Amino acid sequence: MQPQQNDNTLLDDKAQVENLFNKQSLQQMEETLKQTPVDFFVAQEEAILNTIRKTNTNAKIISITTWKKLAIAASFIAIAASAYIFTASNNKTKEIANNLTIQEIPTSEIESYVNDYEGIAEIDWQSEINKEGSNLENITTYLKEDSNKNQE
Amino acid sequence: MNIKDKALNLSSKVLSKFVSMQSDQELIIEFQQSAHKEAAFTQLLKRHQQKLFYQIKRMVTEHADADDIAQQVWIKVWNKLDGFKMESEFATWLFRVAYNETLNFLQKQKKQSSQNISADNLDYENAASAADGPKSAQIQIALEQAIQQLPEKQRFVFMLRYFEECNYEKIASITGTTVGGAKANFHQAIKKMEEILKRD
Repeated sequence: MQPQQNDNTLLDDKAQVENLFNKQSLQQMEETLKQTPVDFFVAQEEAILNTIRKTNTNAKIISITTWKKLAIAASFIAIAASAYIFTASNNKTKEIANNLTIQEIPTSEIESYVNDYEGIAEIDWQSEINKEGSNLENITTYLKEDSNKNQE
Repeated sequence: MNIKDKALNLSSKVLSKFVSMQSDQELIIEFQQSAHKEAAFTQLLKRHQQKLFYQIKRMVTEHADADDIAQQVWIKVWNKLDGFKMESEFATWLFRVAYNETLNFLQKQKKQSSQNISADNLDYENAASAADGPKSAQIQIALEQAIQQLPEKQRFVFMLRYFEECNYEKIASITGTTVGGAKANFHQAIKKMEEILKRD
């Protein structure tokens, strides 16, 4: 890190410190700090590079190029957009169903709906009639038996 | 050594000479664009390794701790250098990473062993009260004691300003403050050390 050449305040600041502690002590402190074992920095460099090499072989970092990044981003946007459209259309249908009354539906639309689903409607009606018929038969047999008992 | 080996040796020497002449910015571009990142990174490491280590050691004092922190910083630099956008100088960014790592270390250390710190202070006091020692040694102890009592940020700013002779703009971007804030930190540090000296 290079000191700024035209920093006049630096000298003032340093002088302020040197008034407090003598310059020799400050220099001495710095010299003591800079005492390191022989070849310490070579060993440190090796240690750093070895750690990096190890982590690189354990977990290979795959560099993602710009177009790959864009493709990933586009797929995320597509998923989010389709999810939004799906929920929005569902909500819209629900909203229409909640707000619509039978009086508001034009007769022609009801008729066309009935015509379209006539077959299903007939089958439904037929089953209902059959059900009711069986119920009526039960009632008539019950009534007959009841009247016979009364006569006896 | 045959001719082929000599040629290889010479070419590697030329290459390393060429790499050493490159600026930080050129080395970073080479790191970011090349598949052989290690050569560029090693050059950056060699260039800034010592200053970085000394600044960390000024903060933590223990040689082994400073070594651990420095290694962590360089590994972080390796992992993040691909995303470095050259908005600041590499050295400023490097010292900023070191600043954060050192502060994290000191905070963890503070939590773990508040008792050890008081024991260290006691050692200082015992050493300082040794009347038979020369006066310069007493001043030195007082100086170290005063520096160690500074809040971490003030200490970091003080070291950068006095020993690394950094300008306030650089100090501000390393410590994440304004220029005014950095100046205030430096002067508060001096004021505090003055108070400590008067008190002791």
